[in-house]
Amino acid sequence: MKKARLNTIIHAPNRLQICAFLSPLQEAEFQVLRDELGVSDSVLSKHLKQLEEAGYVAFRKGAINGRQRMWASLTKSGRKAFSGHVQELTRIASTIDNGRELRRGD
Amino acid sequence: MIDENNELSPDQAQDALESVAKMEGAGWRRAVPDRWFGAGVALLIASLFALYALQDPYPYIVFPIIGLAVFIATAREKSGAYGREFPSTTANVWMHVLFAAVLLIIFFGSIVIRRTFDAAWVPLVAGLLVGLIVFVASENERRAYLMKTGSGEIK
Repeated sequence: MKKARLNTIIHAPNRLQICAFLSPLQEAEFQVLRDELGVSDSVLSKHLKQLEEAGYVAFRKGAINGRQRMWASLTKSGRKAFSGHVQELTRIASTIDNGRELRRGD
Repeated sequence: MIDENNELSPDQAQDALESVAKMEGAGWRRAVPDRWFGAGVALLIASLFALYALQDPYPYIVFPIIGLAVFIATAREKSGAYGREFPSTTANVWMHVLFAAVLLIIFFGSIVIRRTFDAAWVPLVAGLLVGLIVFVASENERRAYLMKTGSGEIK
Protein backbone atom coordinates (compact mmCIF):
# COMPACT_ATOMS: atom_id res chain seq x y z
CA MET A 1 0.00 0.00 0.00
CA LYS A 2 1.32 3.44 -0.94
CA LYS A 3 2.32 5.51 2.09
CA ALA A 4 0.32 8.72 2.54
CA ARG A 5 2.10 12.03 1.86
CA LEU A 6 -0.19 14.23 3.90
CA ASN A 7 0.92 17.67 4.93
CA THR A 8 0.80 17.67 8.74
CA ILE A 9 0.73 21.49 8.95
CA ILE A 10 -2.32 21.77 6.70
CA HIS A 11 -4.13 18.66 7.87
CA ALA A 12 -5.27 19.98 11.30
CA PRO A 13 -9.05 20.60 10.82
CA ASN A 14 -8.97 24.37 11.43
CA ARG A 15 -5.91 24.93 9.25
CA LEU A 16 -7.39 22.76 6.50
CA GLN A 17 -10.55 24.90 6.64
CA ILE A 18 -8.51 28.13 6.56
CA CYS A 19 -6.64 26.96 3.45
CA ALA A 20 -9.87 25.72 1.80
CA PHE A 21 -11.62 29.04 2.47
CA LEU A 22 -8.69 31.11 1.18
CA SER A 23 -8.07 28.95 -1.90
CA PRO A 24 -10.64 30.61 -4.21
CA LEU A 25 -9.88 34.06 -2.78
CA GLN A 26 -7.18 36.59 -3.36
CA GLU A 27 -7.50 37.89 0.20
CA ALA A 28 -9.88 37.60 3.14
CA GLU A 29 -10.18 39.77 6.19
CA PHE A 30 -9.41 38.29 9.62
CA GLN A 31 -12.97 38.81 10.94
CA VAL A 32 -14.53 37.18 7.88
CA LEU A 33 -12.26 34.17 8.31
CA ARG A 34 -13.09 33.98 12.03
CA ASP A 35 -16.86 34.11 11.35
CA GLU A 36 -16.69 31.45 8.64
CA LEU A 37 -14.69 29.10 10.84
CA GLY A 38 -16.69 29.85 13.97
CA VAL A 39 -13.61 30.12 16.18
CA SER A 40 -12.29 32.75 18.57
CA ASP A 41 -9.74 35.42 17.61
CA SER A 42 -7.01 33.70 19.61
CA VAL A 43 -7.61 30.27 18.05
CA LEU A 44 -7.59 31.75 14.56
CA SER A 45 -4.44 33.77 15.31
CA LYS A 46 -2.67 30.66 16.54
CA HIS A 47 -3.48 28.65 13.41
CA LEU A 48 -2.68 31.55 11.07
CA LYS A 49 0.67 32.01 12.78
CA GLN A 50 1.52 28.34 12.20
CA LEU A 51 0.58 28.67 8.54
CA GLU A 52 2.59 31.88 8.27
CA GLU A 53 5.65 30.24 9.82
CA ALA A 54 5.39 27.48 7.23
CA GLY A 55 5.27 30.16 4.51
CA TYR A 56 1.74 29.19 3.47
CA VAL A 57 -0.08 32.37 4.46
CA ALA A 58 0.83 36.04 4.10
CA PHE A 59 -0.71 39.08 5.79
CA ARG A 60 -1.47 42.65 4.82
CA LYS A 61 -2.64 45.39 7.11
CA GLY A 62 -5.14 47.94 5.93
CA ALA A 63 -7.33 50.61 7.47
CA ILE A 64 -10.91 51.47 6.66
CA ASN A 65 -12.83 54.24 8.45
CA GLY A 66 -9.81 54.58 10.75
CA ARG A 67 -10.06 50.94 11.86
CA GLN A 68 -7.09 48.60 11.44
CA ARG A 69 -7.92 45.41 9.58
CA MET A 70 -5.75 42.45 8.75
CA TRP A 71 -6.04 40.55 5.48
CA ALA A 72 -4.78 37.01 4.94
CA SER A 73 -3.96 35.26 1.68
CA LEU A 74 -2.49 31.95 0.60
CA THR A 75 1.03 32.24 -0.77
CA LYS A 76 2.16 30.41 -3.90
CA SER A 77 3.75 27.66 -1.80
CA GLY A 78 0.61 27.56 0.36
CA ARG A 79 -1.55 26.96 -2.71
CA LYS A 80 0.83 24.26 -3.92
CA ALA A 81 0.90 22.54 -0.52
CA PHE A 82 -2.89 22.72 -0.18
CA SER A 83 -3.40 21.35 -3.67
CA GLY A 84 -0.98 18.46 -2.97
CA HIS A 85 -2.72 17.72 0.31
CA VAL A 86 -6.16 17.62 -1.34
CA GLN A 87 -4.82 15.33 -4.07
CA GLU A 88 -3.52 12.96 -1.42
CA LEU A 89 -6.84 13.03 0.46
CA THR A 90 -8.62 12.26 -2.81
CA ARG A 91 -6.30 9.33 -3.45
CA ILE A 92 -6.89 7.90 0.04
CA ALA A 93 -10.67 8.44 -0.18
CA SER A 94 -10.78 6.70 -3.56
CA THR A 95 -9.58 3.51 -1.86
CA ILE A 96 -13.05 3.23 -0.24
CA ASP A 97 -14.60 2.57 -3.65
CA ASN A 98 -11.69 0.39 -4.77
CA GLY A 99 -12.05 -1.74 -1.62
CA ARG A 100 -15.78 -2.13 -2.22
CA GLU A 101 -15.13 -3.17 -5.83
CA LEU A 102 -12.57 -5.78 -4.71
CA ARG A 103 -14.94 -7.21 -2.07
CA ARG A 104 -17.71 -7.43 -4.68
CA GLY A 105 -15.28 -9.32 -6.97
CA ASP A 106 -14.64 -11.96 -4.24
CA MET B 1 -6.31 12.60 12.63
CA ILE B 2 -3.11 11.36 11.06
CA ASP B 3 -1.44 8.58 13.05
CA GLU B 4 2.30 8.20 13.77
CA ASN B 5 2.81 6.59 10.37
CA ASN B 6 1.13 9.51 8.63
CA GLU B 7 -1.81 7.29 7.74
CA LEU B 8 -5.44 8.17 7.45
CA SER B 9 -8.45 5.94 6.84
CA PRO B 10 -10.43 6.42 3.62
CA ASP B 11 -13.47 7.51 5.63
CA GLN B 12 -11.45 10.18 7.46
CA ALA B 13 -10.05 11.36 4.12
CA GLN B 14 -13.58 11.55 2.74
CA ASP B 15 -14.71 13.63 5.74
CA ALA B 16 -11.75 15.97 5.28
CA LEU B 17 -12.60 16.37 1.57
CA GLU B 18 -16.20 17.20 2.43
CA SER B 19 -14.98 19.85 4.87
CA VAL B 20 -12.70 21.27 2.14
CA ALA B 21 -15.58 21.43 -0.37
CA LYS B 22 -17.82 23.17 2.17
CA MET B 23 -15.21 25.83 2.98
CA GLU B 24 -14.29 26.38 -0.67
CA GLY B 25 -18.00 26.97 -1.36
CA ALA B 26 -18.07 29.49 1.51
CA GLY B 27 -15.04 31.23 -0.02
CA TRP B 28 -16.70 31.45 -3.44
CA ARG B 29 -19.90 32.80 -1.84
CA ARG B 30 -17.89 35.58 -0.19
CA ALA B 31 -16.23 36.39 -3.53
CA VAL B 32 -19.49 36.93 -5.45
CA PRO B 33 -19.49 40.61 -6.42
CA ASP B 34 -22.70 42.53 -5.69
CA ARG B 35 -24.86 43.61 -8.60
CA TRP B 36 -24.39 47.27 -7.60
CA PHE B 37 -20.63 46.79 -7.98
CA GLY B 38 -21.00 45.77 -11.64
CA ALA B 39 -23.47 48.61 -12.19
CA GLY B 40 -21.08 51.15 -10.60
CA VAL B 41 -18.12 50.02 -12.72
CA ALA B 42 -20.30 50.06 -15.86
CA LEU B 43 -21.51 53.60 -15.08
CA LEU B 44 -18.00 54.95 -14.49
CA ILE B 45 -16.61 53.37 -17.69
CA ALA B 46 -19.65 54.59 -19.64
CA SER B 47 -19.07 58.15 -18.35
CA LEU B 48 -15.42 57.97 -19.48
CA PHE B 49 -16.56 57.17 -23.03
CA ALA B 50 -19.44 59.68 -22.98
CA LEU B 51 -17.15 62.55 -21.90
CA TYR B 52 -15.78 62.63 -25.45
CA ALA B 53 -19.07 64.24 -26.46
CA LEU B 54 -17.57 67.46 -25.04
CA GLN B 55 -15.46 69.71 -27.26
CA ASP B 56 -12.57 69.49 -24.76
CA PRO B 57 -12.99 66.38 -22.55
CA TYR B 58 -9.36 66.22 -21.33
CA PRO B 59 -9.70 68.28 -18.12
CA TYR B 60 -12.51 65.91 -17.00
CA ILE B 61 -11.38 62.40 -17.98
CA VAL B 62 -9.32 62.13 -14.80
CA PHE B 63 -12.53 62.04 -12.71
CA PRO B 64 -13.97 58.71 -13.95
CA ILE B 65 -10.47 57.17 -13.96
CA ILE B 66 -9.77 58.14 -10.33
CA GLY B 67 -13.41 57.36 -9.45
CA LEU B 68 -13.03 53.85 -10.87
CA ALA B 69 -9.83 53.18 -8.88
CA VAL B 70 -11.36 54.50 -5.63
CA PHE B 71 -14.65 52.66 -6.22
CA ILE B 72 -12.96 49.26 -6.82
CA ALA B 73 -10.56 49.69 -3.86
CA THR B 74 -13.37 50.74 -1.49
CA ALA B 75 -15.69 47.92 -2.59
CA ARG B 76 -12.90 45.38 -2.05
CA GLU B 77 -12.02 46.72 1.40
CA LYS B 78 -15.68 46.70 2.47
CA SER B 79 -16.41 43.21 1.14
CA GLY B 80 -14.01 41.52 3.58
CA ALA B 81 -12.96 39.04 0.87
CA TYR B 82 -12.54 39.03 -2.86
CA GLY B 83 -11.94 36.38 -5.45
CA ARG B 84 -8.89 35.53 -7.48
CA GLU B 85 -8.79 36.11 -11.19
CA PHE B 86 -10.14 33.14 -13.08
CA PRO B 87 -7.45 30.71 -14.29
CA SER B 88 -5.51 31.97 -17.29
CA THR B 89 -6.65 29.30 -19.71
CA THR B 90 -6.06 30.03 -23.41
CA ALA B 91 -9.80 30.49 -24.00
CA ASN B 92 -10.07 32.87 -21.05
CA VAL B 93 -7.08 34.97 -22.19
CA TRP B 94 -8.53 35.22 -25.72
CA MET B 95 -11.89 36.22 -24.34
CA HIS B 96 -10.29 39.07 -22.36
CA VAL B 97 -8.20 40.17 -25.36
CA LEU B 98 -11.35 40.20 -27.51
CA PHE B 99 -13.24 42.14 -24.85
CA ALA B 100 -10.46 44.78 -24.62
CA ALA B 101 -10.28 44.99 -28.44
CA VAL B 102 -14.03 45.61 -28.72
CA LEU B 103 -13.85 48.38 -26.09
CA LEU B 104 -10.85 50.02 -27.82
CA ILE B 105 -12.56 49.87 -31.24
CA ILE B 106 -15.69 51.51 -29.79
CA PHE B 107 -13.57 54.09 -27.92
CA PHE B 108 -11.36 55.23 -30.81
CA GLY B 109 -14.13 54.72 -33.40
CA SER B 110 -16.48 57.04 -31.52
CA ILE B 111 -13.74 59.71 -31.17
CA VAL B 112 -12.90 59.58 -34.89
CA ILE B 113 -16.58 59.78 -35.92
CA ARG B 114 -17.23 62.58 -33.43
CA ARG B 115 -14.32 64.65 -34.81
CA THR B 116 -14.88 63.86 -38.49
CA PHE B 117 -18.62 64.54 -38.56
CA ASP B 118 -18.86 66.75 -35.47
CA ALA B 119 -21.46 64.28 -34.13
CA ALA B 120 -21.50 64.87 -30.36
CA TRP B 121 -24.13 62.15 -29.85
CA VAL B 122 -21.78 59.36 -31.00
CA PRO B 123 -19.67 59.21 -27.77
CA LEU B 124 -22.93 59.28 -25.77
CA VAL B 125 -24.22 56.23 -27.66
CA ALA B 126 -20.78 54.59 -27.33
CA GLY B 127 -20.87 55.23 -23.57
CA LEU B 128 -24.32 53.67 -23.32
CA LEU B 129 -23.24 50.66 -25.38
CA VAL B 130 -20.04 50.13 -23.38
CA GLY B 131 -21.92 50.54 -20.09
CA LEU B 132 -24.31 47.79 -21.18
CA ILE B 133 -21.46 45.52 -22.33
CA VAL B 134 -19.58 45.97 -19.02
CA PHE B 135 -22.74 45.37 -16.98
CA VAL B 136 -23.57 42.18 -18.91
CA ALA B 137 -19.96 41.00 -18.48
CA SER B 138 -20.13 41.67 -14.73
CA GLU B 139 -23.40 39.70 -14.51
CA ASN B 140 -21.72 36.79 -16.32
CA GLU B 141 -18.86 36.96 -13.84
CA ARG B 142 -21.35 36.87 -10.92
CA ARG B 143 -23.02 33.86 -12.50
CA ALA B 144 -19.65 32.11 -12.85
CA TYR B 145 -18.91 32.73 -9.16
CA LEU B 146 -22.36 31.53 -8.11
CA MET B 147 -21.91 28.34 -10.13
CA LYS B 148 -18.72 27.74 -8.13
CA THR B 149 -20.63 28.01 -4.86
CA GLY B 150 -22.88 25.24 -6.12
CA SER B 151 -26.05 27.26 -5.56
CA GLY B 152 -26.46 28.58 -9.11
CA GLU B 153 -28.81 31.13 -7.60
CA ILE B 154 -28.75 34.76 -8.73
CA LYS B 155 -29.48 37.24 -5.95
